Amino acid sequence: MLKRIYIDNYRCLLNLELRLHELTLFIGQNGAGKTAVFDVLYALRKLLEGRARVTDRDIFPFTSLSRWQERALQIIEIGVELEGADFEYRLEIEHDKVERRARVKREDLTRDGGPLFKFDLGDVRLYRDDHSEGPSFTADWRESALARVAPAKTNAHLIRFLDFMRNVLVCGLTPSSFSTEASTEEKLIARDGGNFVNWFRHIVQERQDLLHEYTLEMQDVLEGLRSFRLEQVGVETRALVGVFGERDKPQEFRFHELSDGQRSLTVLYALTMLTGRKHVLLIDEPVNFVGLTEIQPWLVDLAEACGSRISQAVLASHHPEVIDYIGADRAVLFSRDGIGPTRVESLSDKSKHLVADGPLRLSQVMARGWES
Amino acid sequence: MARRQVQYVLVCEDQQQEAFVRRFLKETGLLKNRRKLRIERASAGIGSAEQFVRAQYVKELTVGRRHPVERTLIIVIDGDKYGVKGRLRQLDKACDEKGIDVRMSTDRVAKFIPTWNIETWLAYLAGDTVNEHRKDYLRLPRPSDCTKHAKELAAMCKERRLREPAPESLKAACSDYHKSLR
Repeated sequence: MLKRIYIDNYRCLLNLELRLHELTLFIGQNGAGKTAVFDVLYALRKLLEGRARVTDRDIFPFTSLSRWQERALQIIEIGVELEGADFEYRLEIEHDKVERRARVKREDLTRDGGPLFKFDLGDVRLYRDDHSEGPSFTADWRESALARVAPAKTNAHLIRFLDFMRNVLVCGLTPSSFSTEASTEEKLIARDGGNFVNWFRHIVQERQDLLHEYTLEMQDVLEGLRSFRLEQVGVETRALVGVFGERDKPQEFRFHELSDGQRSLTVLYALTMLTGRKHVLLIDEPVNFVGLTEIQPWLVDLAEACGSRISQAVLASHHPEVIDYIGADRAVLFSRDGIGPTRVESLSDKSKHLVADGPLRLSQVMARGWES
Repeated sequence: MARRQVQYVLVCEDQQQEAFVRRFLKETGLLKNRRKLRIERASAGIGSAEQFVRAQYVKELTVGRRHPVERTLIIVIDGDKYGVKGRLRQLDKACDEKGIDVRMSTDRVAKFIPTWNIETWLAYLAGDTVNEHRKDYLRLPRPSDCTKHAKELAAMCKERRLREPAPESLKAACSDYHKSLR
């Protein structure tokens, strides 16, 4: 489980530390920095997958440095609890403001305080699971050297951490970008959900055991739905089709023929029911397109899934249904004075009294800007 | 669309009460689709949850009477030191203070008042002999860990027989369940 995130010198995030629960809700005004945290975790996952360099546009470009800082060093720390052990990961990225280049300056991983991996100015030192020194070598400064470590008998802990971070899914669903057809299978859902059908093809192959329960749930969610199927529309291409209506008189609709809300729900339930126990879900504004009657049932399902069907979830939302259901004890309040740095703070006493005494729900307090 | 209409409104104090009642309704076959249940739960971490339940109870009664819709109201509030009778009196008083009738024949309301609290019932359903004056029965690690407890209660309800000695607050709740929910 992702327990702690520390970010320094990334856009509006300056010396910011967050503590997370199994289910956490980021709340706060527009521009307060909620999505910036998601961006950091997305970039980190891509780096640790070994599929990106620090300078890539959506990773840690020069423009991601905090504007009001002279310092050129960005620091990201992640605290993760896995199987009872505490992993601490630290990444330092150094930017050259003149050349507009960046490099990884340091990268460390520890488990319960003992070293597993160190990268320092181009030199890597590996450590075995018992923290004894292993081999050393030089590595490319432009990417995560940790991501290049191959599994071996003596580094199971390091690989376990990498596996965890590679299963952090960061999404902000955009139904208009969802494709209906897929020519390949993909193991991870894209940030906008655009490759959902590719991912669904992968799930159909790998996790058939989960599909029955998902279909039953979706029959309650989408009125009249009987099942989803993948129809062959080319040599390698399959299209996602929803089969609706009576068994003897079915009506089929391609995925793009469903409404934005119906497609969002299809993806949201797939995330909570089909991703698997290893995954951490970070979803930005999950219910943007979802009808009011469907929001709380999905939140109930998500809350039940955390710690069982999936590892953990973090949502960012302004929606009153989300704010009031998840509640104050699992909410992290982001705030910012003008264009200053993001702060994470507790709800004000004033707002707590308003909710505690009954006249207002938490979402109503937030709608009035009285939360901080 | 009629299929989407809520049939049960659950007003409760916390996640454990919610998780238990949801599972119980599912196990008894009353709740086949999650969309039939609307949950109004106190905002965790802020203020008095039992105060929220009392206030929400009055609101829900008022709404139900002014705009009759076919639904059953389920109230869950820990008995604490007040016990079942004390809490029922408080709920009645909350109605009086807002000037609404305490009971009307058309109301469909089930009041579950676990005493000392929901953990007392969970301990009983796990096989313990419980004392309703004891307030330190352990919390479950996760609210969702109460599935087997809800199954046990659903099975007892089906038989219309609680294992003796049963907590008085659970007996009262079962009576309300058979009156208002079946």
